[in-house]
Amino acid sequence: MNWATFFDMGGRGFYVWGSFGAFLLLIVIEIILVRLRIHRAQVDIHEKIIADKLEASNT
Amino acid sequence: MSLFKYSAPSTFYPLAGKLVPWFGTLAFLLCATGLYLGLFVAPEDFQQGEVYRIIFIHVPTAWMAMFIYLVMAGYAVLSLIYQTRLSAMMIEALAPTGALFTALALWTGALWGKPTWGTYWAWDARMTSTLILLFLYIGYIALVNAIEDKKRADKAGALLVLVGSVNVPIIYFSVQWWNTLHQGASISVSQGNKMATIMLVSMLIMALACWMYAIAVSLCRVRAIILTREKNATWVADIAEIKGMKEPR
Repeated sequence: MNWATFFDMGGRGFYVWGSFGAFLLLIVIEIILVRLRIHRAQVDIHEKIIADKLEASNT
Repeated sequence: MSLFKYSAPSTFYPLAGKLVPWFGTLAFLLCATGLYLGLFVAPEDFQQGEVYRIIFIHVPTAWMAMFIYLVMAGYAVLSLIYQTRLSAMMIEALAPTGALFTALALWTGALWGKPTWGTYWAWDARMTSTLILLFLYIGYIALVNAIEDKKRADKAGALLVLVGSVNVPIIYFSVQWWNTLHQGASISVSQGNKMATIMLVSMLIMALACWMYAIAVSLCRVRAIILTREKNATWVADIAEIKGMKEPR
């Protein structure tokens, strides 16, 4: 298979790869954002538990 | 064992955690297969040439854009009638993925339209109603984030989703009801049986991949939403992932 022909897509490479590229890019971005969101939520709760423990030991 | 057991955030959180890797793996395998078939196995279309391959992304994302909104509307009914907290959380978890698929459907449609119709955009019924769907998704996200009181935000959001669901059949039937630039629902690539079959199979596999992806990413997001909303509940302190975190010295 000729890769140059494959990427050229019959002279329509911009349209085809613009579509497939956007699809993969946005999905990767969404996966990263969701993973960050769940990690942040877990860290928030962990910090809250520590703060509650500290407060309890101080009183 | 009752399925209703899983309508509580505390029991759904670990279940969702177990399901995410399964749906994620399925989505990855299906996407890899669909892309391979669509880009390497399916032949060039006799009329459109190579640019037709955009349908392997465009059609599945457009289907998911409508389908996710209908699922949200189903959860909106549950949320309004039974006041189940998890339903509202599921709507919130699904909305960004629905918006993403709608944006992708519009983007890929524009990129397909330029070489095929000679224009990126036309204000025809199918495209305009899909753009309205994107605004409905964004509107929902903006609305629930603008209202401080979560109960009120959930109610207002569910109402907006329900009212907006009228738009979905309008999108679907727009090509029949109006004289649109966008073609009808049939997949007009049949030039010989084998050719049509491989194109259809590639597209259906990509649609399944998008479906599995949407389930995986929404379940992952709903876990984050559950944690944020239930941070004051006692059960969250017992979650293994949180217990396993190191304490700062």
